[in-house]
Amino acid sequence: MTRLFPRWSAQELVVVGVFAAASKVSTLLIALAGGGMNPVSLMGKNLVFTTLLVVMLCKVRRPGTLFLFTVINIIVSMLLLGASVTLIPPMLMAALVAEAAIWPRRHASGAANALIGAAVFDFVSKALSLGVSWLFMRENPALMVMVVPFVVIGYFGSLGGLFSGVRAVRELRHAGIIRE
Amino acid sequence: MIRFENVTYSYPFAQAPAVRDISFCVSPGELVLVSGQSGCGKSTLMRLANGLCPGYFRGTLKGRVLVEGRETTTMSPGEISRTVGTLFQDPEQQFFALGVEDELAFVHEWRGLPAAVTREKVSRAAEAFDLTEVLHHSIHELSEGQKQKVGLASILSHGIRALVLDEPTANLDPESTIELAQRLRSLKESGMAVLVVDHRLYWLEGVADRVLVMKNGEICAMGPFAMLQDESLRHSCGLRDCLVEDVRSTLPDIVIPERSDDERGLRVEGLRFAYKGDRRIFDDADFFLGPGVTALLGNNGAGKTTLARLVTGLNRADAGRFFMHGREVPQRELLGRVGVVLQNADHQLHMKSVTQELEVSLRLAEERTKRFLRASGPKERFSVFELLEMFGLTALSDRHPQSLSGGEKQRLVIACAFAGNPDVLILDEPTSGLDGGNMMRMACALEILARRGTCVVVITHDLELMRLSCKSALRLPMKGREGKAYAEKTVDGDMT
Amino acid sequence: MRASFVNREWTGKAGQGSADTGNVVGLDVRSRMFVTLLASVVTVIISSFEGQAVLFVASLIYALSVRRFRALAAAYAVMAIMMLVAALCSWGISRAVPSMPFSPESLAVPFMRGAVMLNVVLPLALTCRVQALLTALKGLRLPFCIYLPGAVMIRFIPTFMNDVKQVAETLKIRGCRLGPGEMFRHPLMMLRLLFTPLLFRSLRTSEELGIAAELKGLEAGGKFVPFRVSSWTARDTQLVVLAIVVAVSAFACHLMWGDASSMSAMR
Repeated sequence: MTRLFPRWSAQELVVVGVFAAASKVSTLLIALAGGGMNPVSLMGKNLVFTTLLVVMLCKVRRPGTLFLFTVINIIVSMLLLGASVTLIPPMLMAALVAEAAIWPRRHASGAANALIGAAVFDFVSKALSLGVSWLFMRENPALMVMVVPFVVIGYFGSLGGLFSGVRAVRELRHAGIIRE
Repeated sequence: MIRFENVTYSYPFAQAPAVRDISFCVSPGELVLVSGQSGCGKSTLMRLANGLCPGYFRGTLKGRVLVEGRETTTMSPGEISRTVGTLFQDPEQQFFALGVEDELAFVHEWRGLPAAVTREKVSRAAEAFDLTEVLHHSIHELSEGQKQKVGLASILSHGIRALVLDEPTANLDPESTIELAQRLRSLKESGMAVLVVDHRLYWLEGVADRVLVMKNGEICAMGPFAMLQDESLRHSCGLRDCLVEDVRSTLPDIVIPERSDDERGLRVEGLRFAYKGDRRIFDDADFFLGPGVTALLGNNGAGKTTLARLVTGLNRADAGRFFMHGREVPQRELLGRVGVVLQNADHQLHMKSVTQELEVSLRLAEERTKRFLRASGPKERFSVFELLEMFGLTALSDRHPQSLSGGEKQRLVIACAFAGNPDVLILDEPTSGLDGGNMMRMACALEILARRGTCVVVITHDLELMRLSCKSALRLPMKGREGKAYAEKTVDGDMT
Repeated sequence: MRASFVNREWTGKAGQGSADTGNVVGLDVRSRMFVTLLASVVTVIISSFEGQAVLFVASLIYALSVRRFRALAAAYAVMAIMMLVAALCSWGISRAVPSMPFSPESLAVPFMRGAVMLNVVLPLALTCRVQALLTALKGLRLPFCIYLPGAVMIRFIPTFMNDVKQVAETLKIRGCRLGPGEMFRHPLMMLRLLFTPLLFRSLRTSEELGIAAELKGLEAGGKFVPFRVSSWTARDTQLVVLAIVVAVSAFACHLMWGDASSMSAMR
């Protein structure tokens, strides 16, 4: 009987771990370099994160990879950086929705599936993080007006990351590092 | 122990086989050395021995590779690793833990051994490899030699019976290299079958029982170590020398001439530097780097890297004056005139093709020259074509830089540094991992650059390169103001 | 030379980290994670000033127990600036949109929520340095498919930090300008220059480490027996019990006195 979710090999798990580290380091450094509220760094860190996500999903084509990546990110971020626990539910939910979105095309080749996964993940996580912000600021709705532009700017970065992700995959194919 | 029977192997997507019709064996208590020029298939041979080909890399295998009589295709690389241990060129890249003790325990933990047994194995491995003192250190704090010991100790603690080593000396200093040779000799004597793949040959004289020379994926010569004394064989197969003279003690010290306005070179006076909260590494040090190739010598931790960073302006000196071609230069402007090539080739390649990488370097060099309005210094620039030719990269000009092999990347980043046309160029281990042919090519390139008036400084453990290229040595630690007199007297022959 | 770049970064932090984790707090990472999770849930549920005040005071004592006063002060300073900006924006919006009136009371609860979260995540972040994290991760007794990538992620965070630094340095050596001005003028080019090597290195590292994993025989389903783990002590139990007591007290305050204050804030 074939398993619904075949086991990850050690190599695939290593790829997930390495990319989780790379995304954490790069987003952290961009945020530190530009200041958290700077629109350019906000866009930049989302762009880099999504680019790395697309490349990783092209490298590990297995259902559940995005969800695993999110779980690892959450656990280590909590331990290392004290990342906000309140963002865990939206992140997990976004990962699950993204997994569901790419499930029908799970055997397809090419970068399209990775792109869909990353796009859905970015959109849902941003939307749900707005929901969490509302929970935190529900006593003063005016504060939400301030949060929304930042989330939107970050989302523009994520959209850019989808394009740069595809370009990066193309370049990696040219370099012979990713092969179908 | 390890037996190859008419083995032909092709990687997936490759048109031609990487190795063809290979037959040999490594018996218990025997050490076989495999050498040959870059791309000749020796790494594939190593991967076949430990089951990575085809177990991990897939591809097509014809013939049989046997480990203790069992075909490797019937076992996973993990199973094979219980018999055959593999040590790679850069062991750090394969560590899963951050601490030495954790790394030594890692595999035992995953094999489900009781905690007490793991602890016992870790402490025994640490004792055997003199790692007890660094057991609680981070792997990042270790020297290359120590990292290799950790890698080797970890592998040997699994009770393996055969060992495969891939370019184990590429990052080691001569002392660590000799220590490794002695360790391999004792492993061999204890009945271990050892297969070493390396460009450097001299260190295994008297240790290797057989040498296997490869060319274009085939074995072109097999015999005792003495076979390597045949110069035509070495030349035709791109091998390095099998007997190497250690010139470190005989290289003359640098001379510090009286200061003059028309001098050529970098003069440093009264250099002082200490890392925050640490001992002072340079205390009123004076030296002069003139045209030609100078070796920067010193033990691990003597401050070779720090010196390179100080004279490039990457680290700020606590005190000191810098004179380029007789004129004082603020330290912040040194970066425009002193180039440095570090070992991290992967970090230095950004573009989409080899040619683009060189073009960008040339453009940046031009912009920098305009910025600093450099009055003196070498004027003649290399063209992209010249650089491609000089470093043997012409056939690779359209390739993506990140798709090149380690040696090719190394040559490319050095070519980029040549394009920068600096007054002083510092190179850190420019020939580690290069075969004989490319090592000679590098020596020639350094010679050409030095003849154009550039002061070339080489930080290297490569005794062959040192013998071929270096004309003088700057030895660390320096002895402050007395160091000047010390250096001068040594050159005059009054002191040794 | 490669190693020495990392050394300077590492020695201080690693040594410091292990000392902190062992001596200052000495609690199991699971108990600290529990506190963080509990605090996040309770602070979202409670919308009254009184309830939040209980949470804030208790969490502040918890944060101060770490004795990293400078770090705590710095974090509070950053948070204060952000709160000030938020308050100014809120005031501005209230002027433009009269249906969203400005009142300091309505800002108090959201701000205290932020402070509570800061108080509980900081002890976790400040007492868990990279080298001790792997032990902490082992202590969580996670399945193979989570532990291995988690361990790899922790293993490579310092390496990649150092990589980015080295990439920036090599760009400087080649003559690229990396000032903030360039970052604003050519953000995409700068991102390419800085992060292309990191991307390739990630791929190469995962390839090499994948090979190492293969050769070390790592596979799912194997029995993992850690040779050294942090153990759950009576102090961990005390912390968990105390956290639950605080949560219940905060909730009780919210139920008893909270209705009036939350209504006035909402108004």
